Amino acid sequence: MANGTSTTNQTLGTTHIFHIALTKLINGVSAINTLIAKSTTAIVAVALPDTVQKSSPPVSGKFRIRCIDGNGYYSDTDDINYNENARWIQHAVERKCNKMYDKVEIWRDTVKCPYSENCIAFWMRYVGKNEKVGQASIISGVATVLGGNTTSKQNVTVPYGKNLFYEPIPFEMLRTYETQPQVIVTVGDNPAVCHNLTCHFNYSVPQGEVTAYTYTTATKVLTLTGTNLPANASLIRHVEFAHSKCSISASSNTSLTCTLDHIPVCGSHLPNLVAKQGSVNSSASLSATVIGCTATSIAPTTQLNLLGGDNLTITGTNLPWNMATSNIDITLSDAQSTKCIP
Amino acid sequence: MVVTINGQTMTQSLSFTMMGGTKTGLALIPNSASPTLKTKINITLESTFPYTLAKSDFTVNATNITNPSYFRQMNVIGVYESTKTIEVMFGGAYTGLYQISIRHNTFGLVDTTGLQLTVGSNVTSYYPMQGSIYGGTELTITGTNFGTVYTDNPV
Repeated sequence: MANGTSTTNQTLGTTHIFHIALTKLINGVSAINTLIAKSTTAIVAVALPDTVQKSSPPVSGKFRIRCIDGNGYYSDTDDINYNENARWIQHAVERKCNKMYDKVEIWRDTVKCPYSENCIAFWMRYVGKNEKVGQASIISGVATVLGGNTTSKQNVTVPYGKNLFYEPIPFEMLRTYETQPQVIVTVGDNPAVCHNLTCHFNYSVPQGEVTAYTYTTATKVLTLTGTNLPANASLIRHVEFAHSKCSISASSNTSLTCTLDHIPVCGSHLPNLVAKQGSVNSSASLSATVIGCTATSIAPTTQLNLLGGDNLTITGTNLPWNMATSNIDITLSDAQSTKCIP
Repeated sequence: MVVTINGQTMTQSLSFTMMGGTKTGLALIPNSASPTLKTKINITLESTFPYTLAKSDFTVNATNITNPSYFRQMNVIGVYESTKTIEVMFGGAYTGLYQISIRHNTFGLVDTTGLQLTVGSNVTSYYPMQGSIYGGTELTITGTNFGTVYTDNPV
């Protein structure tokens, strides 16, 4: 609330608006007399009093706005011409009333006092003032006295509507307290906001378990057996074994059969079944399959450069088809244990 | 030779025979280049280099001597068989001293001991050293590795 106290009841949220109005100078009378038709032959003229048609007396001179803070302290603006515009009045207020700098808006009330009417009215509203808002009043100018006696001020308290409690809050100022893991998304360097500010991520208990598997080297066929496995291929993201994806040919709740897309790479491997909901657990009793590799030839072996830089080609079986996914170390058995970098 | 792949070890009993000697890069011309402008550099190999020169066979690098992790690759833009010279384009690098390395796809590394490239640009003098406070004085600046196009040398 504007008095500095937090609230959780939107009906208590208020905005404070002051209405400052001056009557505008009327230079001449609007009507002198009016005609009344008494009969078809006689006309009676009724004169209207001039004095009540003019501002009495008309507004003139200069005025000041006295800004009174919530503790009763006040400061006055410099003299302001009676017919000054809203922007200049705001400038004068912000210049002399330090507590209202950047926290007040002044605009002309063209509803209550249209430009065609003989009056001048302004609204003054506090913005972002998180303390007692105080009051404002009009006083006469010092160097030039304000003429006319029709100054007025009004304090209006307007509750916010139910659809908008506060002024729009920038996203950067929002902070939520979450008890669940959150998915944090950034687009470029900018944080993205989740729908309804809900970015919860739920960890689920893995479904199913691989309890056994077999791999047939000759056919490259991998068979998994287990419990509660994904029943069909559409529920499986991929199956991987020995650095190779596996194309599924049959699946059920208890078994899955697939064929490796590549020659298996040497190493010690366990199958990896990843369903759409995440990895399927493998039984701790599974033992890794060791796939060996052989080097049948290495070339060239003659006229190697003393400084290095030669390309050696190793030919064999079950060698890595993608060097980025394998750990490869080649060391010559010379005195310097020379390395060959793949 | 011991080959280890994903923890699986293969041991090959091989005998490699090495060349009787090395081939050397003899000259680097120029041996100084601008850090910001492209510079053509000619590297002359031994006349007995055993292969016919081809641009695609060579890889040439300049490695910073004080910071060996920083190196710049130079494109081979020409080869001259008659003089066993390769022409490379140096694209600029941080100021410093760089060791040149040359590798031939078939031959392997070329001995480039002593082939070092100095990267940097210096102002050695300017004249005159005084002028009118209202401007208009023509100034001549002398230094190293300035561009041959005057717009390459903003002052």
